[in-house]
Amino acid sequence: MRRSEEEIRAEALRQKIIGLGETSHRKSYYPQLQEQIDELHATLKALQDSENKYRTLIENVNVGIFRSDIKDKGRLVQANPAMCRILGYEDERAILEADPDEFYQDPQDRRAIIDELKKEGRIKDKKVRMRPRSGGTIIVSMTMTALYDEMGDISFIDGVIEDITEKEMKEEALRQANKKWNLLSSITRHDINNQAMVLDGYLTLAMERTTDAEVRKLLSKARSSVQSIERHVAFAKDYQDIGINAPRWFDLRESLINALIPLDKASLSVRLEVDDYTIFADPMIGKVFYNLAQNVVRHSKGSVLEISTKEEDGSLVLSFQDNGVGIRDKSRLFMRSNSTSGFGLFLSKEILSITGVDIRETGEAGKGARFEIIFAEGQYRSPAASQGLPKQ
Amino acid sequence: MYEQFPVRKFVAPEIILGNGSRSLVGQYAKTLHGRNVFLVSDPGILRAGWAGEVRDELERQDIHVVLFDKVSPNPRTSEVAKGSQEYQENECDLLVAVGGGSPMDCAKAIGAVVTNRCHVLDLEGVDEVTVPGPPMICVPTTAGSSADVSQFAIISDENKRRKFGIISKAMVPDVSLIDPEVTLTMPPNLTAETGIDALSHAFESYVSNASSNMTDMYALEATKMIARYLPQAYEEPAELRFREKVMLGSMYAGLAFSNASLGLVHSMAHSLGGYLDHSHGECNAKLLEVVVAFNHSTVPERYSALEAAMDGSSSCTTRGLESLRSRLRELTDSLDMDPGLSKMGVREEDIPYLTENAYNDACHVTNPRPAYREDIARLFHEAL
Repeated sequence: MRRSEEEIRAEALRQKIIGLGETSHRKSYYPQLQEQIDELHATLKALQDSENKYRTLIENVNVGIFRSDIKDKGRLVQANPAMCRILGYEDERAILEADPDEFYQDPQDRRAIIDELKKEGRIKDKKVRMRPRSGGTIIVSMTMTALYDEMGDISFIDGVIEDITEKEMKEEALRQANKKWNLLSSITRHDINNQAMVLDGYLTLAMERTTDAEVRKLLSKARSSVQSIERHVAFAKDYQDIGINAPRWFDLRESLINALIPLDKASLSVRLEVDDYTIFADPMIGKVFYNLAQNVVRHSKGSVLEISTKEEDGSLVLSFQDNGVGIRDKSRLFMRSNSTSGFGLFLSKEILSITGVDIRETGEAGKGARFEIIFAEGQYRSPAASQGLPKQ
Repeated sequence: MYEQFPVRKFVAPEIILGNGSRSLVGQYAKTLHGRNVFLVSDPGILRAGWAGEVRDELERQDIHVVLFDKVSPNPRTSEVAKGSQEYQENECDLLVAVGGGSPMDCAKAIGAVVTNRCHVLDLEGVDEVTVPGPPMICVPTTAGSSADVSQFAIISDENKRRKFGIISKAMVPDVSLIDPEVTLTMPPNLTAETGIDALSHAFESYVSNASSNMTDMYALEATKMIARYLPQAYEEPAELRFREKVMLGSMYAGLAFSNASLGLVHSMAHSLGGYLDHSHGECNAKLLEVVVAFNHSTVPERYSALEAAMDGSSSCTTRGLESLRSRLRELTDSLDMDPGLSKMGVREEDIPYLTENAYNDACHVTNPRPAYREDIARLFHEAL
């Protein structure tokens, strides 16, 4: 039995050596080789599909995408259809032949951009006035990245441009409308204030001339109303400025110090314990800080205000803690009616809400008021990340 | 048992035969798109100057050459591993082997290991090479092994002191530049040993149970030429016309055995060579006669034809085993070869281990008479 198994094995081997079976192949044909070639084809096909996908994406987007060769006078070596459309060229070939100076209204802008790229390596959302081939002016937002050769010199620049002419025009129209509205509002306020002042003067005179207690009481009420009108007008003045100027980054400590300069330091001592943060806020943020400090004196009747920072769950909490009586009824805080009665909190909340910053009162009545301004992630930069930022 | 016209396959490389054919190596390397050649040789061939000449020829064609000469007379698995590592590190794209069976078999194994990304031991057996190796050109410098035309590569498993075969049509080189001139530097003993190896190829392939009309033709012609000219080449080593005939005979024998396979002589010689690290030709010389005696009764007419070929005649009158044995002994005597394995240092107690390895060798599956362990052990005893 054993021998016959060995004989079977030997015969199988003999057949393989004779080589007429399926396992015997010459170098010129190998199924395994064919498999490898098939795999390679599949990979190439996948690569082609992927390339087509990205190509379609680049060709169909509405922003101009380009690469320019800095060593060949900045001539474009690649441009997508949107790029050609924005600059008024019929196709990629035409735009690649163009002198890049011709793209700019002022060729100096181009040199300035290249200088900045050499220094920074990257430019983001830069507004540039360009000249389409058909004439006229367009405003584009430009973002560019420098690519370097092995010597560390810039070889190519990859960039994206977006035609923002229409957007800019709309914004300009809005700015003009705002300006007119502010002018009108300011003149009107001025006139109302003048008339209110005159009215208040006459009411004072009238009060002096009469001895009738009933009339005096009525005149006094009328004066209160006039004063209320003045406060409303004052609020309107502040409120109109909110959101007029674009929010930007501020050094937190510097903003606080500047905001608190007008405070009467005799009646309130301020302890500042804030780290080197920068915050993203409406330029009226100083008004918020001032209001919060002013409230300590006026309403909480405190003498010490401690301002501090603390990071909590990825947010930055800026606290204003005083040693006054605190706030008993918090239900109407931050409401408009209160602001006219002097808290100014509605205004503060409005200013903060422009950049999405939150404010809350967490103090305990009798133990002082505590206002907390919460900057969420992205609305502040920590000391480490703030370093090297240009001073605002 | 013997089929008159069996269905058979015949595989051979592109063969360029003739004096000076080695100078075509650069041209063929270019044809095969070689830009960075891995040149496998051994220290002896390097000393003889042939490897340097081939390197110069390649470099003249602006082909970069990486030389690998760390090949022993019986190439080892560690040498194959080292070679394939160097091949890959140098990102070579073509193999050129210059030398006898050792560098050629080593180069063939290196190629298969490189493309199959495996250990050379994983390729042992028939048709285990799943992906063909890189293109390969051979310049044989001995007239015997015919590794340049064959589908065999024999490697020594130094850890187990045995030899194993990698047998696959994919192991047939692409180009063989057979140039008798390079055999002029062979010392007489090497001429004799490699020549007897070639004769064993012719004998074993002719009596193989996988032989065919084509292999028969080559085997007989090889036998005729080797028997006639090997003693003359041995006597007059500098005579190119004898070298040419022996080289041609060796190539014929190579084409015959590559396609018809071998027999018991080679299974036993591989076992012996792996165990004692003796030259393959010497091992064959000592075993051929005893194996002929073992096989004779199975295929007497085939052996008669071989004996007739040795005598240069085509008459097939049966003269019997003893006549053939004495004819073989006459030949080995003329080459100053001593029979007897005991002179090689084989002891009685080595025989079981030698027997086991010989039995596991694939060559004897085509031996005309089936051989079992006890047969092999007995033959080793007889050959002592």
